[in-house]
Amino acid sequence: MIRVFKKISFLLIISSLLFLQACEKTPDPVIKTGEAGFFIINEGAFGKGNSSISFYDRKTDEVTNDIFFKKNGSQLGDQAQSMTIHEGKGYIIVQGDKKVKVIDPTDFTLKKVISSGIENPRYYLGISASKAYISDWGADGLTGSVKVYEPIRQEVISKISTGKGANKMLLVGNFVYVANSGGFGKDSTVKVIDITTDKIVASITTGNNPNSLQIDKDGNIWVTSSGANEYDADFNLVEAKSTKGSISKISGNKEVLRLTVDKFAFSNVSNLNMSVDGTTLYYSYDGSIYSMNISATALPTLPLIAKDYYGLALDPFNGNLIACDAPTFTSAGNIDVYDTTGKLLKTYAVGIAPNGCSFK
Amino acid sequence: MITQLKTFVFGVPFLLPIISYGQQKDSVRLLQEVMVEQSRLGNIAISRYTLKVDSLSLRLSFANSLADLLRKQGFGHLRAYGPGGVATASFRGTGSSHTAVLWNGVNISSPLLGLTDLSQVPMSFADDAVVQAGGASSIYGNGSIGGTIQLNNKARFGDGLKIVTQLSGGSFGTYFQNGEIKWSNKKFITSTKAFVSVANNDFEFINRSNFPVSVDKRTHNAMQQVGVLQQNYWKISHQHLINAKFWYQDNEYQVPALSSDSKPSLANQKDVFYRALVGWNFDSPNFEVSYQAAFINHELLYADPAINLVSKSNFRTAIQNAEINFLAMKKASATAGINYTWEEGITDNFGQLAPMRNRIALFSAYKWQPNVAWELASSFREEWVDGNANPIAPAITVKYKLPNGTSFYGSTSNNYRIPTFNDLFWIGAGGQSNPVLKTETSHSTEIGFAFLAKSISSNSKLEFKGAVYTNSVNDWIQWSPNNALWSPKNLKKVWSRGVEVQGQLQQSFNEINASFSFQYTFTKATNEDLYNSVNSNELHKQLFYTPMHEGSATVRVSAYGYSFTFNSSYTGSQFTDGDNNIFFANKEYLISNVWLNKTLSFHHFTGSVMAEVNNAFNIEYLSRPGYPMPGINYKFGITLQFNKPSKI
Repeated sequence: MIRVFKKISFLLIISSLLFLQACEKTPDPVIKTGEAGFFIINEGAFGKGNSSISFYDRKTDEVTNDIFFKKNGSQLGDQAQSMTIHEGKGYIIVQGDKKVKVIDPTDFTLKKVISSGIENPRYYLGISASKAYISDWGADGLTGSVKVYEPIRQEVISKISTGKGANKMLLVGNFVYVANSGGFGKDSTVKVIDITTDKIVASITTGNNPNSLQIDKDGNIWVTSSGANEYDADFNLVEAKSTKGSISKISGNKEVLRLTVDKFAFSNVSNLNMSVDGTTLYYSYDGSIYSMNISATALPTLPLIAKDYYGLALDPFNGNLIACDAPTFTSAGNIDVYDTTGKLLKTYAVGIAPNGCSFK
Repeated sequence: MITQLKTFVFGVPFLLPIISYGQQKDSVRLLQEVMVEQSRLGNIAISRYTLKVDSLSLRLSFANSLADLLRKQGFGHLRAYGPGGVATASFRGTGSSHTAVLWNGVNISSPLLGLTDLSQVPMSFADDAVVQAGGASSIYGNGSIGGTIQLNNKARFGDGLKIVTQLSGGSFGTYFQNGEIKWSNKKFITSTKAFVSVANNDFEFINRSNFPVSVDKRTHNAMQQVGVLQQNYWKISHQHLINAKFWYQDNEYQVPALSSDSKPSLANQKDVFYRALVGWNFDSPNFEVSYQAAFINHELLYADPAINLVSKSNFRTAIQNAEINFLAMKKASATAGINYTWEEGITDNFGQLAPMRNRIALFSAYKWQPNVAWELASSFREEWVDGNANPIAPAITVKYKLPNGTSFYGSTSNNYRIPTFNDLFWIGAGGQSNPVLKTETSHSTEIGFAFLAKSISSNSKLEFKGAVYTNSVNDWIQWSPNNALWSPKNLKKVWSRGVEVQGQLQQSFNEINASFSFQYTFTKATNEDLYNSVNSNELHKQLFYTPMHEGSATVRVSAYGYSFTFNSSYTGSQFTDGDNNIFFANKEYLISNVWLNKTLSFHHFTGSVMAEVNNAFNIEYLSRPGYPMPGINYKFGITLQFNKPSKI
């Protein structure tokens, strides 16, 4: 009996050792984000339910389209806005369906659909293993907020009202910066949330409708704002009531520099990206892509790429620009890969209306 | 970018008001005859490949809209947002705005979008429905590129008092009631019809966008319609006849969300319209003259409280039409006419502007029958919009008939469609109209045959018809984005070609009548030129929402007042994007329906009771992605008619 007990204890000890070992985080070789490749989010046409996800495999240098449908046999949904990989899961924001679809980023299997507590979602930001934020425009497009999401329980647990059109977010230390892009209205603030308390601790005024943000090598935060166009009943621009697009530099939770574009444009300053070394900004404006050094005191006058793109991403693995081309919303678009000098390297066919990338 | 796009896109697909403009005649003819029939142009044309809804199917469909009827008959391709939702028809691979819908000869399509919402056409208001596929009806003018749908009212003098009431109810809170009071002697006819139609359409469906897949109930999907049709005819003398018609209808819809949407929609649409028509006919042995005037007012309100959106639009159309029909020639007949149409659109999306336009058209048709074997018909229409001439629309048809009744025909025509008010004047919210759009033009050719064999001894009849066509549409207008701003352009050339066949076999044994009928269409419609479009993906691809294969088959047995009808209609797989991506294709479906009908009669009363099983095999299907259709469902109906013939 005792021998049997000893044997069991021994086995238990061994197995628990093995178990502990399995739980211990094996130090990974340094894998750069984007080394495996990236997902392309194809927004689809509004109301048509034809969004999709493509995957670019860096090893094979090939894009596979419709990976969600191929794996799960169902449509991704209406208007995929973004995708973020967090703690080994891919969170796809399907704005039109007011859902977040959670997939396994390796085999693309659908794991969970979150809709409770979600109104009009835009972006997902992973904060820790037990916390993430989801920006949300609110059902009316005017009551924007950040939803506090608990990835382990897979539930939205609370919300923080931020302003109109809560859009892209940036995590810096213990703080998350939220750009209030206006939604269906107008806003001009970037709100700062303390992630330990989920409370807003600062509000920074920028140009109208700040939409995306990046941090540079010196820790300054840059924000693109699209400005606000006001029209009269005949859809003529009322310049006196309108504001132009701008780029703001934020330091110490204060706007320290605002560079304003010189003309009103329908497709305004947005899609801000930062070079890997944190010295060069890339953004869209008036049908072109521009680049600007963080030390510049004036906006560039000549575009880097003179073509209208629907979305823009910067590949953290090699620093290339991935420009998303949506020529029509009735058929598939492309991604054009450029080097930092604006030279077109390669074009890949993707899905309908690509708007951005998520790096694996 | 998204904000503007959204507001704009919200505006477009659901703003489907119907206002009519018409350039066609409404002509009351055959004054010497008892029956008053509308729309004479059909008599100057040569019959080609037409789809005619038989009278029993029309009677059984009294509680349905034209959309429901076309869906079941499988005529053309019905594009719909679920049951009761906005529905349009597409024929021979053309667009939704390429079918002219005529009510007693008046074109009732909206000048805003160039469409007619067929869910707003109650079958109880039509005595006759004819679908003419193809462009040979180009004399009907604007929008008749793919075909025409003709809805006619017929009236009979000397019928006395007639009172009809029809009631029907069924699954998903469907309720319909129709009533008609008609009185006529040899000089007057007065008829008033009214209907109410209500449906909750809160059916269960399999929601495949949920994880795990679940059975959901469709929400915010109800509709409600109320309408009145008043008609009067007065035969002043044996040469003069006047008539007046008035159609009022109120249509309210809940606009459902996509089935994948996790939140219910709050959006509603309300369409209120009236269509008034007066006509005068003069008849002499050598010629007939007819004059019609119509006025149409249509208001549409679309509201989505979720995003504080309220969009109003209003259209008015005034049509005057005069034509003369020459009867003196022995082997020929000819018509010449003029049409003046004034139309106006008022909506916030046209800014301060309330665009209006004046359209004048001249038309003429000639038919020659040199002998019993040959027939030749030609027609043309020339239309000026605010003084600018559109391309002339001619058509020629030749027909040869064998002594045994089999006939062959060939037909060629040019058609056109003028840009809509939205194409020309829309501003704001991410969209920008294009004032320099060209008129779409098309050229079509078809050949066909009709075979008819009758055996009186064995009480049987066999009919077989077919057509092969080719149709190319130039300067096809499509909205596309440029630098985040959407605008319409003459973007492409579309070539559609296909085959259509239909057949019917009827057999009677004593009191038993049996029939089998079928029809099938093959449609290939591809983009052959994309002009300056940057996206060449769509070149040579099948147009989306255009199935290649469609058809239907119907078996009917009638005996001793009972009738049993079984009908199946098939809609092939259809692409929903310009790339023909199979992952987005809407799957094929075969839907079967069963009707049982029993006619009754007692003294002055006649009537019928009817039971209907729709989607009898409970097939899961979508009318388009995100818009599920109901599974098996039932309807029961009763018709009661009181008729006391006139003694005058």
